[in-house]
This record gives sequence, C-alpha cells and structure tokens, in this order.
Amino acid sequence: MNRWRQSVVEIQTRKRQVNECERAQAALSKVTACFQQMATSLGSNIDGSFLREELEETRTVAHKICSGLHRRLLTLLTEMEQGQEDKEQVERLWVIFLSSLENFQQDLKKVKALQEIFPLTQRKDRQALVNTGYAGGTSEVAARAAMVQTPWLSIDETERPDLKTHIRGIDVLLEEMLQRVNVPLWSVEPTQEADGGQEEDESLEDMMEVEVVSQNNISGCCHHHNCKVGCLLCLLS
Amino acid sequence: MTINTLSQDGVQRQQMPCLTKMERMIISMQDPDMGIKLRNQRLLITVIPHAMTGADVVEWLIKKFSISDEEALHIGHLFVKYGYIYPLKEPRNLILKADDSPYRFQTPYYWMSTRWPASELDFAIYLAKKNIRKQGELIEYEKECYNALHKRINHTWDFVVMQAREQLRASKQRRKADRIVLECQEQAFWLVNKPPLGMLDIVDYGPERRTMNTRVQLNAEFYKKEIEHNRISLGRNRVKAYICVCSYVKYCEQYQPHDPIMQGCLPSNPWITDDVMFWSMNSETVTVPTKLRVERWSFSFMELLNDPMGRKELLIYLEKEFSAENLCFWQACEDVRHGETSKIPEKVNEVYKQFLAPGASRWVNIDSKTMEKTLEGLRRPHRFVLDDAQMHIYFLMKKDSYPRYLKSELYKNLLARAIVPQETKKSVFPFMRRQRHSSPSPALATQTPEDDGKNSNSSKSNSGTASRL
Repeated sequence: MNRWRQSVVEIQTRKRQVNECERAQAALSKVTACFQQMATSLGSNIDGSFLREELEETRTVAHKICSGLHRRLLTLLTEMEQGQEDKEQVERLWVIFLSSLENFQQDLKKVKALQEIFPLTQRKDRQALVNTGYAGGTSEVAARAAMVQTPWLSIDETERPDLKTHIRGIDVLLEEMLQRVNVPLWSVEPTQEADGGQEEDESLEDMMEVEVVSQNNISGCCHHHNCKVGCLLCLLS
Repeated sequence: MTINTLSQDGVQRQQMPCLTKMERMIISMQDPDMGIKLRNQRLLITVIPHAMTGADVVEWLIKKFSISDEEALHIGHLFVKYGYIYPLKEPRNLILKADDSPYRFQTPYYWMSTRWPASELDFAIYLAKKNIRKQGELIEYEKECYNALHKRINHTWDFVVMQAREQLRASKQRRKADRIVLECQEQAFWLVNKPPLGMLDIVDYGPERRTMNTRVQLNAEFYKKEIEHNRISLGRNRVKAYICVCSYVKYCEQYQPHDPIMQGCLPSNPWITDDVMFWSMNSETVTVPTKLRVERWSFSFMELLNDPMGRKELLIYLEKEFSAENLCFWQACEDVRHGETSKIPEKVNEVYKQFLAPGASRWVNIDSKTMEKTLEGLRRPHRFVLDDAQMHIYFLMKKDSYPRYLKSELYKNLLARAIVPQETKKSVFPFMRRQRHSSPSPALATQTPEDDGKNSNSSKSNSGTASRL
C-alpha cells in the first residue's frame, strides 16, 4: 500500500486531522497549566467556592479536549499504513499526550486530596486555610483557560464526570492506550532543543530586587546565592 | 507508563503519620485567634503579607504545647526541613533560626507528600521553566540534573518544553506580588524534594513495604478478631519483675559450675588447648560419665531427656518399674514431630498400633478425653496430631517417674561412680604452651593460584583479625 493509491482527498483529510490533534495538544497544555496554577491556591487564604468552581470548569474543558484527542489519535494510529509519512509526527503526539494525561492525573489526585483536607463546607473551615501570602485571585488564569477552544467543529456529547470518576477514567484511558497501540515510546525524537528556547522574563531575583534604602531599620544586607545584581532586603513590620 | 512510577498494582501509598501530624500543627497555626502572629514583608513597593519570624514560631510552639525552648526549636526545625515553612532570606539554608529571620508558610499544593512523590517530569518542567526564563539561571547542580533528565526522558521532551512555556504564561496572569510568592514556593518545594548534593535529603522513604497498605474492612469480622486478640493479650500470664529476676538469679547460680567460660571446663577447653579430651569424655557412649553431667540431670526433667545417656538410664529404670512404654511413646512422638513429612502417616499408624490401640502391646495410660481427641485426629494425621497425648505422658513422667528416679539406687550409684576429670597438667615451662592458630580463612580456598603472591599477605592479615575476635 503506498501513497499513490491514496487519493488526494484522503491525504488532505489526514493532514487536517493531524493538525487538529497538534492544536488540541497545545490547547490541552494550556488548560492543564492553568489548572495547575489554580490548584496551587487550594488550601491557601484565597481558596473559596469561587476558586473551586473555576477549577471544575477548567477540568471539564480539559476532559473534553482529552476525550476528543484520545479518540482522534487512536484512529490516526490504527489507520496508519506502512511507511506513512507522518508516522513520526503522530507517534510523537501520542507520547506527548500520554505524558500530558499522566501529569494531569497527578494534579487531579492532588486536588482531590486537598479538597478533602480543606472541605470548606462550614464557615469555620476557613480558619484552617493556610496564610501563604497571596493577595490576588486566579480569575485571570481561569479566564485564560476558559478562552481555549477545541479545534474540531463537531460537538461531541460529553459527560461531565466528577473528580473521582475523572481520575479513574484517565486510568482506563491510559491502559487502553498502552494496550491498543504498540508505539515504542523511547524511540520518539523530540523537535525541541534541549534548552527549549528563550522567553525572556524576569527571574525571581530580578523581581525581588530592591534598591538599597538608606534610612530606617535595615536589618542588614543579605546576599542571595545567585543574586548578581542587587541585594535582597526584607523589612518586616 | 512513561516516567511516573506511581502506584504499582493500584496500591496507594499512605501519607506518613509524622507528616499528617505536622500538617495538623500547621493548620492550627492559622487560627485567627490562637494562631501565630503574622507580619508583612516589604520589598520596596510590593508588600507581601503573611510572613513571620523564626522567634515567633518558636514562641508559639512553646506557648501552645508547653514545651521547652529546645524542643520547640527542634520542631520548628522539622517544619522547615520538611518544607512546611520556608525561609525568605536564605532560601537554600533550610533551618529555623530563632531570631527575626523571616519565614512563610508553604501552600498545601506543595506540601510534602509520600502519597505522590515529586516526579521527574515535574522537576524537568521546573528546570525548563527556569532555563527558558533566563539563560544561565541554573546552578551547577541543576544543570547536571537538567542534562541527565534531557537524556533520560528525551522522548517526551517536547511535552516538557511545551508545558513549561504554558505554565510560565499562566503565571504571568497573576499580579506581581503573587508571582513572587509562587516562585518562592516552587523553589522551596524543589529544594526540599530534590536537594543538591551535600544537602540533607529528607525525602528518604526507605524500602517499600507492601503489607502496609492492605485495606482493612471495618466490619463485624474485623472487630471480632480485634476483641479476641485483646482478650488473649489481657489473659496472658504475667510475672512480677522481682520474681522473674529471682528465678533468673537462681538459674545462673545453678548453672554456673557448668559453664565453660565462667568456671572453666575439665580437663581443658578444647578450643584453647586443642585437646579434645573434654568432648570424648562427654560423648554419648562413654561408660563412665562425668560428675557434672550426672548432676545436671537433677536440675530438670528436660535436662535428663535431652542427654541421650540420661534417656538411656531413665529407660533402664523405667523397665524395672514396668512403665517403660511411657518413655518409648514420648520418643516416638518426638520422632513424628521432627521427622520427615512424607513418613508421618506411617509413623503415626505405628504409634497407634503399638501404644494407643485397645489391647496394644505397650499401651499408654492416657485420660479418656485426650484419647478421644487423639483418636479423632488420627483420621487426618499431621505433624502435631499426637501433641496432646505426648504432653500428657510427659507430665505423667515428670511428676511421677522422674522424682523417683532421682531418689533411686540406680541414679545414686551412677553419681557415685561418676568421675571428675583431672585438669591437664600445665607444662613446666609456661612459655612453651601450644601455639594457638586460627583455621585458614575460607577466602583463601577460593583464590586463584595467580594470587599466590597476595595469598601469604592476606592469610597473615586474616589470622590476625580472627584471633582478635
């Protein structure tokens, strides 16, 4: 079976599908990253019903993308023919999706545990929340996740599973993935370089850099290990 | 699975109990009334709340739990080591200083957890984030880890970079003060979970214990078992410590003359003098036993039975008394208990035919209840089926035959005939004593002939150590 036998339409369709999956994976990364951001606030002083709702919304979006992506990737892989051009690409997507799922499931488990430790059902539960130093909320992060759209046009009927079912569902997904498709995971080559490129940004030291103030009660200059530029001053009041 | 070595076979790890306790304490520190005093951290224009000094922590612990300075400091120390509190001034120095050094609470997401330990994937993402943000940001140790991870999980590196980028972008949505807090938190988390070489690694779980996680059903069965177990524990025989000690002292006094180390042994200790006279004089088949040996039979019935010669003497005595079948039965039972499994049925059968069957040639006198139970058990013979009967006969002999034997002429004569061996004459010239030498080291036997040159050296050193032992 070679590509000459495949019609132009078939090749184009497949290409479109693969691109869809790429975009879906990017979307999934975005959503799970936002989810993780919000999860770090669980149990802290900014935790509340609002945050939990936002988490739920984000989780649903992730679930939608996951199930769709899973189905499409599976189809692509099982329909793969000998000497397919995009074999490497699809297998790479497969591996990335696997890692993504595992990582997301880990976060889900943590979220579940944290929600059990900090139930927030009664007023006095708020006293248990840890004062971590957050001042603002995570609404912008949630908004970022909410803006993500699934690349496929069809509206798949999706169930909205609860947290526990979702976690178990991922287990099932993972097992199915490993059984149905025989992809040698370790043979996949990444496209990114080792250092992952640059996205210039402030490092922690830069952000905490403080000008040396001359007056009132400076307890002393402390040198941060990596601090090349300034001093880190902590004035406690 | 790709990288995460999470639960195997679905066995979930439990949170270590000490961590749960620490978590509870941390939560109680948050109490608005009784909790710890919080201050603000000023960084020029940004103000970050919820900081505290080391002294505050120690003071709170002392007040809350009424403990000493030292203990409070130690507990505070543990909080920092396990990452529940992190220092703001010197992040890499995970200790608690009881002065005005600032600290902050770690967010629960980054709490230490034995349930899901920090994975390599997460660490890779963290390092990638640092690297992407600023070149040359990674310290030496982190660079090494990064390169190692790049090799090890190379196949999923695209995911690592992608996720790192997305996480960076997500965090940019937070306000600046929160970003600082988040960075500090993450840094603290990784300092605890993946410390650089040389720093204490608190995350040392030790070997996995499978049985620890068996889920127990809290049903009626379980509680019945617990009740039974506790009842048996309560009913256990307890002895006063004083009585225990007295009997121990008595035992030591009684056995002291028989102890080769405390009293020395006659004619001489074979291990020291290489003279095996002691063993040959105490062998099973000697005609005249040593006095010490015969005396020992009077200590307890087990002493008599354990010595083959003693057992023989007892048999002779019992034959005179026409109750030899007891001892024979007991011996046969021992044989069943300690013998080959495959021969058990036939041995038990023999025992039955000789000792237990009605009208047997050497019928033993067992009470009816035990006899019934034994006969019942004989239908399905196993190693311990004759235990009850054996116990019965043992006590019979112990109470009845044994005291009489000790008072008998047979025993007394033997005791009178028993000899006390003479101590081997010490040689006239004491410095001509036989040289002690240790047996050759077994390691020498395995060395090849090529190592002959090393052999002589090692044998010397070996014997040196052996004689020191």
